[in-house]
Amino acid sequence: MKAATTLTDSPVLSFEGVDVRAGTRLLLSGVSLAVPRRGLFGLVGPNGAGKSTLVRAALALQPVARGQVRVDGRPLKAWKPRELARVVGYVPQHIHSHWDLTVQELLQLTLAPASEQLLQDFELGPLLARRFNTLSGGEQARAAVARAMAHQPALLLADEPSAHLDLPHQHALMRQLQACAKQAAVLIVLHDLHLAARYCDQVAVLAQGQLMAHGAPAVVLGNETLARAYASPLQRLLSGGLSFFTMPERGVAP
Amino acid sequence: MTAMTTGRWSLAPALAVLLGLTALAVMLALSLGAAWVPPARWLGQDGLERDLVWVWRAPRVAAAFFVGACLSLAGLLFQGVFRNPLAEPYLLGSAAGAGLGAAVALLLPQFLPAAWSLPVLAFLGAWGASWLVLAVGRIGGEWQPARLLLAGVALAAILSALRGLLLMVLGDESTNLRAVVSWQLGGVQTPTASELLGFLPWMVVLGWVAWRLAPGLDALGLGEAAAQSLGHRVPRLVSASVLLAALATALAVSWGGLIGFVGLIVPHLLRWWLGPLHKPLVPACMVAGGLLMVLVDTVARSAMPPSEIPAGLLTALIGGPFFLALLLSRRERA
Repeated sequence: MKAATTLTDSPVLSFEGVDVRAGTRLLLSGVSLAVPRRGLFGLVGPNGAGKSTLVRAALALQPVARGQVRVDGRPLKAWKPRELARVVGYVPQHIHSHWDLTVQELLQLTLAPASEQLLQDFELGPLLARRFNTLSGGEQARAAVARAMAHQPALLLADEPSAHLDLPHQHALMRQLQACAKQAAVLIVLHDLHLAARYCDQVAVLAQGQLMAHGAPAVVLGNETLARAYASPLQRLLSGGLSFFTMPERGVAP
Repeated sequence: MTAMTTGRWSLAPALAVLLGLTALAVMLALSLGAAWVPPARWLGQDGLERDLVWVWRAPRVAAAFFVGACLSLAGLLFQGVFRNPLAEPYLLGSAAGAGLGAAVALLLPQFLPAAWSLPVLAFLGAWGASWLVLAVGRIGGEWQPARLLLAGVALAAILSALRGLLLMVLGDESTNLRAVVSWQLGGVQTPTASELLGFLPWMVVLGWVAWRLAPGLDALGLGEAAAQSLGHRVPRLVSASVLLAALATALAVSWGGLIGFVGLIVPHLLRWWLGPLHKPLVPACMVAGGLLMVLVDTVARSAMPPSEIPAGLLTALIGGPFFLALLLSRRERA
């Protein structure tokens, strides 16, 4: 069951007319978006849409050229890095350790020790003594999310953590993030529209650095919005109450 | 969190073992040399033997420990910043920068009193070289560890060539030239009593600052974005680590000349033993680096009496094959 979003609360993360530039190139243009305090919030869009840039801007890793990013109502610039780290957890796109860390050592790279409950929820107990870099993709993703959640941040930013996972592991990870979203806001970058439609409470569609649509997945992930965002005739198919997305064969009218 | 058996030692027993081995190495170093003086005779009636042990050997053993601790700590810091276990002051150009600065101080004593100019110029050389390497490695966004290492190797070659050029232009038959040549082969100097007193505060300062930087270096191992998301200011962390590593390199170079591979071997072996987290590695590396250099220096002055083998040659003979083995093992894993 989806977590109830408390839309009346002030958002934990908000973008107000945000522009981000890389040299002369505009990576984000006038993005305004509010992420509520609870629930799974999906960020979808084609490659180069600005999804990762948005996440990096929320972490103060990417300077904002215009507009304002607020965390917990405070402008990002007013946060000290250590304070911000306590409120925001981050799972990077490529999970890799340069050193030969065990899972137990990885879980020490947090602001608070991982609780027994967290280890149980993410089924990490048997993996603690294993080397992180030798784990399977699914195990690595679990450990990385658990590390980011160890200090119980109010907001978790996850940049495509389900990439490179097989289907069962993708769904397992989404269910774990859905459970996290009962206690915190979880903003997840996704390429898989089916996962976004199935697990997210809200979805935002980005394309060419602009916000195309934002709202409940059933409303936002429609054929028209997707066709505009992806510049391709994407089609949503409904089966058993679930949404699946595909491309029609060439020459066949959608 | 539940403790699990990872096959790695915790700091306290490892440090106890290292300190025990260091005590044995120091006893050996005080006894061994051109003449053998067993521990029973260290405080005996023979004034010559007493002086040999306490006036000549003991300060030198302390200096060897200091040089090893500094080199090993510098290696640990560079490896942490560069996120590469092959990084060390000698390979990265930091030691070559310190070497160039020290050569200037030794070759131009009429302009610069060597007592203070050698450590200062060695530090400036080490720091400047480290920054140049970092600047090259930073081109195009995040620091690329492989590019950093290659830039360091290239810079080390350039700085060594400049040192050679300086020797050609400024060197003559005077003692300065001999001093530079013997110093660049590496060899521990014997400090005076007052100089000896300076070692302890330096070790405490270096160790304490490195200990404070350790959590940031751990986080940096997960990438710059992950480190920043944990509240670390990455540019400040990198600057402080490089500054500290350059200082440790300069102190080691001032007292031991150009000694390679200690900063590579020690952190690497200890990572196998204690794991890659930097907090336990800082004190362990300092003690183990000191231990290794005490042993190397003992061999250097005892193997071919009355001559001394340059310590830099010995560490290269041990470290070179170690480096190659490391490269091969990484290739196999890749």
